[in-house]
Amino acid sequence: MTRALVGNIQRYSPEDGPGIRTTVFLKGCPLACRWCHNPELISPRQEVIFSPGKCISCGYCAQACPENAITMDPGPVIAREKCTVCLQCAEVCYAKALTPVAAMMSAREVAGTVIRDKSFYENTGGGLTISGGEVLTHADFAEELIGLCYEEHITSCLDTSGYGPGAVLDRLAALPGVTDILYDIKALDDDVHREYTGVSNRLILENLDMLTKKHGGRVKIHVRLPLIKGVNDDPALLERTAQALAALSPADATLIPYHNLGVGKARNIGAAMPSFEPPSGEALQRIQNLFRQSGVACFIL
Amino acid sequence: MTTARIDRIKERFMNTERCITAERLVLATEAYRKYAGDAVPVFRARVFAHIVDTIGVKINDDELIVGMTSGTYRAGDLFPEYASTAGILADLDSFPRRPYDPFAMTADDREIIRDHLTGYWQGKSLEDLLDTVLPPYIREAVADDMISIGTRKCTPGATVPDYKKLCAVGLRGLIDECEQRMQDLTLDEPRAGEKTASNAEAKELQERVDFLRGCVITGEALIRFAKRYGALARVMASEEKDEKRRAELERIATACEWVPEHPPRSFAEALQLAWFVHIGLHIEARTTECHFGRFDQIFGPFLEADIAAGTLTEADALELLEAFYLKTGEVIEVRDKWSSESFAGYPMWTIIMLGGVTREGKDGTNKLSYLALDAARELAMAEPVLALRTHRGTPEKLWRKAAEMIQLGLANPGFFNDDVAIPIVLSKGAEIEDALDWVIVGCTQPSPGGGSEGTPDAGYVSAAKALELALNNGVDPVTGKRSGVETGDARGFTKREELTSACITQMLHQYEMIRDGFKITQSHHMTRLPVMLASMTTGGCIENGKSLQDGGSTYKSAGLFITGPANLVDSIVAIDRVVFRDKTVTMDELLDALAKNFEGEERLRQLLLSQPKFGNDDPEVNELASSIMKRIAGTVQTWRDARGGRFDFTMMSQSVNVPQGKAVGATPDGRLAGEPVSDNSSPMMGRDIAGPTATVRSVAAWKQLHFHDGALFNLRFDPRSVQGDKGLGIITGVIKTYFSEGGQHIQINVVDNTTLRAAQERPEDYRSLVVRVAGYMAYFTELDRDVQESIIARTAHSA
Repeated sequence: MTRALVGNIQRYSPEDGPGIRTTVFLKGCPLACRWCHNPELISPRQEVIFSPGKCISCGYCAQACPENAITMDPGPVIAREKCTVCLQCAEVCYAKALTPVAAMMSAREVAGTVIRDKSFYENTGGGLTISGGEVLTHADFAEELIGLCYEEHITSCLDTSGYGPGAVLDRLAALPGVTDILYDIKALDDDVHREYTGVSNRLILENLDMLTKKHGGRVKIHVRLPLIKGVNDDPALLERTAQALAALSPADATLIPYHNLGVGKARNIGAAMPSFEPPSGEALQRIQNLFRQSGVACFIL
Repeated sequence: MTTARIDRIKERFMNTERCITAERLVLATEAYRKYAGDAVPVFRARVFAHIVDTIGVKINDDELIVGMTSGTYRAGDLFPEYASTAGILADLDSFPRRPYDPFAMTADDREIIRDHLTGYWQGKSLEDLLDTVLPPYIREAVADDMISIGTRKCTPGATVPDYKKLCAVGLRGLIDECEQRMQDLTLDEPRAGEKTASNAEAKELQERVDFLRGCVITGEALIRFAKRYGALARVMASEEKDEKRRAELERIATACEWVPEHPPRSFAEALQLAWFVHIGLHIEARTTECHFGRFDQIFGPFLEADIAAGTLTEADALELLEAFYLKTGEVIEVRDKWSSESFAGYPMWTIIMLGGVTREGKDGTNKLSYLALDAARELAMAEPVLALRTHRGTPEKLWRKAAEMIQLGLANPGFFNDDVAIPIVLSKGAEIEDALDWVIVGCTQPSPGGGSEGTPDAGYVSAAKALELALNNGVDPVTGKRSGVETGDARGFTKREELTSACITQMLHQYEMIRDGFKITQSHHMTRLPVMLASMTTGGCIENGKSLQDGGSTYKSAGLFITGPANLVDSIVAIDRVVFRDKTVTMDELLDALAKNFEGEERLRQLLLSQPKFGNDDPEVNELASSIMKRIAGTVQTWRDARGGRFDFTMMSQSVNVPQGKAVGATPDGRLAGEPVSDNSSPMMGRDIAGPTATVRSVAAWKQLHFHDGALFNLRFDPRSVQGDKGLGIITGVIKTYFSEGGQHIQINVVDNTTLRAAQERPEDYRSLVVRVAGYMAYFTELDRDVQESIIARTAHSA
């Protein structure tokens, strides 16, 4: 029985693969993309997240904190360096303004929730999506969860950065029940990639190559390209990306213009995140045309 | 694309304010003075005849279907026979400016109305009369918004005239049937006064004959009314310079001279027949929920015959249909303050049913099923309300067309599940063909086809008030009155079942009050205000020689509504956890906090709010919810009304959850005093936070098969989450799943900016609003203000 820190089980996730899906977000990712929209899921460790809109400034959290890490102004301000994530503050927070980011759950518990929407999957061609965080760092958990769902005739989709051992990706992609993989390409230029994600893209590109060649026939591979204005939207770079992708012939590519959702969430776990801009509508259209001309089916989210 | 004609009619419609006209009031007053004294059905028929023989007739520019409820466009008639003069007089000077559902009125009309109401009608209405005969404890419960008793100021019934039969035999056929029946009765059965007849038999015989005579008078009057329109069209045609319009007016004249008296000879005449009957219903009595039944099944063959014969093109048929739809919005009911608030937005529930299986159990989709959707899509209006029956054999093409309309944000049609409705109707005692042929009688209530009379609204019970009474041993903490029954001191309760039972006892006590009060209401309708046209056009009444109000129709039922069921369930769960299991607070402390409306107790309120809530697909909550409602429905559905009709439970509230919510103090689910309680079968507003699939599964979990009048479910989507081809698949997928889980009805709203702005203003009420941010969904109210703003901006672009 494998367990993992699960950030959220989001039922009704129609954008994470075909049909209506339930997306399971796992905590922990080897990348640290500066535009990440789930920054609270980057660290593999438990954290406390603050939701300012819910706080009633009752002050019970400050009283409960054994480290005296919380001061009230008017809501709690957490001195994160003192915080041991003992979660006593969250326990006394009736308003649920302070909550643990994730819950430690067994694959069976997670499957129990996923299975509840089975008839929605049947009627829309949907299923389970495992996202993160990074699924490749939770391979055993993912494998068990996919297997449990498959027993219930529920198929699975992996949402991955591709940054992990190729053998692990190969193993997960080969599992019965896996029908789709959402595969992120953050930037084809390795300098840009290193600067903005903290790691090289070499492994990611190698894995994509392996994946399309070895599993492309059975599993639909959907490339996803987050696009951040002035960071990875250079036309020349994207033209090269389109050509590179055309050679791999994935099922399709989806452009995901930047959104600032992560900025507030980072603040709420005591981290800081820069704010970016999405490319303009016309720029997105141009990029979409670029991909289509290269023979890659391309959509804009 | 609508035609220029339809655009002009729509523009006139949108640019004309609703108004109130004195016309019917004046004519009804004349008729009452002239004909009072005759047997009631005959008298009421003569009143109707006097009105339709005299009331203004007017054909508006561009119209293809003609007929209005008075000589004034978009005017509401007054029915002093039903509603108390006090309600109208109270608002008389403020109608144009009152905040709820205002109406324009000319100064002349205002004075005429005042004179007639004060000069003749004061104290004479059904509502006034009922105020003097309802037992004081029931009157008080109504005044305190603990319950409502329906139909005290309007007709009891929703009406689904048998248009199939009308199209086959015409009104003349029904009149002949009445004459024949009268003859049979007077020849074959013992005459009044003869030795063989007992007093009761003689009286009943005379009543039947009087009823049938009233039907004949009513039918003849409506035929004359149509002919007045025919004559007007002839005159207008003779004066018309435009050749095309002249030909149209001549066609209209020919139609009005022929229908509703005779069976229609074309699709246009069939619609014109239906329209005369429809406005006749609204001239005779204060009524709403007059439906056109299974529209495609009844009128489709006329359309198909015309097209096959080459006398009508599909484009012309669409225009004609749109002209017909635009007429439906012209009919208006004038309501007082309570009714306007409870049924906000001038609804008339003019329902057009499409799709579903035939009486033989086969798919009934035809050309008109599609065309009727197209017309509603092009017009995008609030009336008529389209209701799409679906089953396993519903063509994907029809599904798709309907889903496209939802995607556009039209919230029309509503979707209905034959797999649940048919067994429900069977369990109401219908024959199998009538169950397969089921129709809505009311709003979403499934009823047998071929002659159903439903009184949708026997009354509304406030489940949240029942909870308050259970927590206070029968004393209403808001009024201080002992308006419930003694169910024991709640501070002594230690188990969930004790509390649940006390709540059920209080609710059943409320339903008993409705039952008893409603039966008194019914007996006054049957003896004083039989509705003649509705009766003679509904199956069973002519055969039985009895009005609908007297139990004449083949099937009959009365609906028992509910507000706040989710608050009841959520509160029981919260108490069970916080007081009984975790013992975080005592019942005494909780009751104190409720009495203070949580003042100084916000933390406790948050704890209560964070307990599992109905709408999140929590198995324990779902189980409690369905078990409570099953116990309620199982009891009240064994009761019979004054006509021998059934009482049917329904999870429906309309917006009565607003006034009834105002009368309820703070509740243990964390709701503050006076806030609206939950509506229909929905979770409490903003408490379903696990996404729409969880909401859908929860609502299906009420086990709606047990509710003879079904359950209404309203689901909202963000437009961006159901875009494109994939979005269509999601819309139909959600509906099909809801239906396969046992849901009976669903209507889907796709939200707009107004809602998002409101969500910013009052986030607590919109917590479950899911929006698409980029490649993912998020709860709108949990997003940063900046993110919210950008989403609002973007949604406007896509709209």
